[in-house]
Amino acid sequence: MKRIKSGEITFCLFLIGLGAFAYIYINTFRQASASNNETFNFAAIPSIWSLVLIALVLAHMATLFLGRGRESDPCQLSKQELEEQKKNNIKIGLRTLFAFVALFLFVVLLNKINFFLLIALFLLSMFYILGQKSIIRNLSVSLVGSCFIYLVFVVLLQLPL
Amino acid sequence: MIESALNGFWQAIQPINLLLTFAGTFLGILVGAIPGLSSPMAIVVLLPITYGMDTLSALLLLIGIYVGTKLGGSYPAILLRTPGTPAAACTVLDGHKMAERGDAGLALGYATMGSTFGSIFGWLSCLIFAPLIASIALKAGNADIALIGIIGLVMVSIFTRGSMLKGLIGVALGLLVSTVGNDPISGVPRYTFGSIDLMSGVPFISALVGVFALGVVLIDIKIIGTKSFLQTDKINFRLPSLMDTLKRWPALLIGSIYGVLVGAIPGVGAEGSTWLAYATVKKKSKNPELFGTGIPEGILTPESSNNAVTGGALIPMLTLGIPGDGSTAIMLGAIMLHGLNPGVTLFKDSPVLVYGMIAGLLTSAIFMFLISWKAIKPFVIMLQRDRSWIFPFILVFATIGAYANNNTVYPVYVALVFGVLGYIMEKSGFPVVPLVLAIILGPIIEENMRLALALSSNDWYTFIATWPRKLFVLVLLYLVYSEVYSGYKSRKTAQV
Repeated sequence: MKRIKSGEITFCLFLIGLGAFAYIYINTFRQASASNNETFNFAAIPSIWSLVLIALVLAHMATLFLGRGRESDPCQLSKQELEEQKKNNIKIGLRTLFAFVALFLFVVLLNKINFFLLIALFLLSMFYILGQKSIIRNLSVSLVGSCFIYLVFVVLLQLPL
Repeated sequence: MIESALNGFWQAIQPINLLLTFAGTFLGILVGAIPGLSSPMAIVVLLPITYGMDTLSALLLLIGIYVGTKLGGSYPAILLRTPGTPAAACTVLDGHKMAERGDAGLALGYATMGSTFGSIFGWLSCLIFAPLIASIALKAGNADIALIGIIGLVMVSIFTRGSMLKGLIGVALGLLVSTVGNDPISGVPRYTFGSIDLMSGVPFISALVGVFALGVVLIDIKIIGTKSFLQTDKINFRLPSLMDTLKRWPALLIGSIYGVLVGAIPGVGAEGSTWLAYATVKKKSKNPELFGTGIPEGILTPESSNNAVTGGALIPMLTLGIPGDGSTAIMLGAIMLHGLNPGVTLFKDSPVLVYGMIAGLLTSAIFMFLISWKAIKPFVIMLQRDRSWIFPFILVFATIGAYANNNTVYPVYVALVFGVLGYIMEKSGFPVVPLVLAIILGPIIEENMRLALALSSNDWYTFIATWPRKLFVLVLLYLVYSEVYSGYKSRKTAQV
């Protein structure tokens, strides 16, 4: 049986929710706005796109469920290979999650900490997250990188960062 | 027109513009040579550098990157059996085989010759056809422009990887996102939730940065740590003679023609054209069984094709305001950033800029040839570098790109949201190019649709009132029907 990815279904449900919210929100607002009497007013296009989005996602979900059971799974891996694949996937998943957290913190702290110090800290943490274990090498590349970025963007290009 | 063309060419060959084209081409080859990095990513990451530049200079830098990545992708394809860009996947077949025989330098030489020929062919096609299409497009009314935009988005959904339905979902999402902000006609705020930042809408540059830089890096984290094996230690670059290359003219010509035609179709991209061209040349060849064993035609065809795409993709971008691929979508954004309106009037309003950009295709092709011929070693060294050193810098440059536009954090948050959205979409098999194109084209489509309806007193018949519009609608319906039908047929075949 062809397996449907739960992530894809979750994303589809999110899109349906988003489309429904967009439609309801814009039309509730339209009723409250007394000055707008046109047929094809500011709410028309967002309403159309949100309904189209919901319809397309529902159609896609229907094809997903209808297509289930038509194809067999590809050739099975051995138990050891499956275990290794699982470990690898967890490793990649954790790396991605930590990279996202580092990026999120970088963005949140942008206006709170000196920009170039923040860049150096971000680079240092990212190198470590992505597998570079030598602290000295990471530190030196981060500091040089931060200086390079300062020279290019502030000194050379005169961007007001 | 001739005066504008000459003026544009003259501007493009000014020393500062030549320097920027050279720098862009060099960077483009470098980016293309590193698997995991792409042309849209490089262009979006280097966008902040162009903020203070003259519009033509900025675009020449970006065009240089665009052209350079097409050749750069062939280096790892030949040496490592890993294409640097999706467009170079076809080059692996014969390029790597030739390298295995000990002729890696010659394979790189054929890739250089093929790419240069394709770029020049693409430039000529753009120079000849773009003004013709622009003069026709000028007669377009509001309804025509809206229909062309919708057809462009539907074509992107059909021809991009993955199913049409997933592409259309990306389009619908992008169109919905593009309505955030003040209504362009009445000024009523939509989906702003009282936020002043949201009143100006979703900054499309931030969306591009998020999707093409942040999202792609998060996706490509999985390739870090994968080992590359360099085919040969010493690369002796050997350029084949011009006569030897030209005697294989069918491969060059067919590849280039496919490149231009496919490049002009929004969303298909270079990878589609290379495989089509390769299959055609193989079929027409007297010795089709030799393809895949390391023959020059097997390199010349895909390389000429993927470089000719650059000229083809610029045609709809410059004449209709519809980008041919992700890279031209970002270039469209760069044009808008500099205060110009990239639509059917761009040719009329800014002919010097347009011809200058077309000239940039030629100058970057020449630089690409010279750089590859004389300075290939740095690229060979770089393509072995561990991406864990490169990705963090891409994230920093992308963040600066989103921040430096307004010097506020709001666009950076938008970029982050789109980065996450791009990551989730890629993981779920939804293509991101339709989303991005819809965000850019959404306001144009909406404004023209509403103006067309206002002028016709809300009569929807205006969208099929003339023969060109009837044709557009028929094309649209045919495209959707043929895609649905082929999907239905393949499902039926799978059942049997």
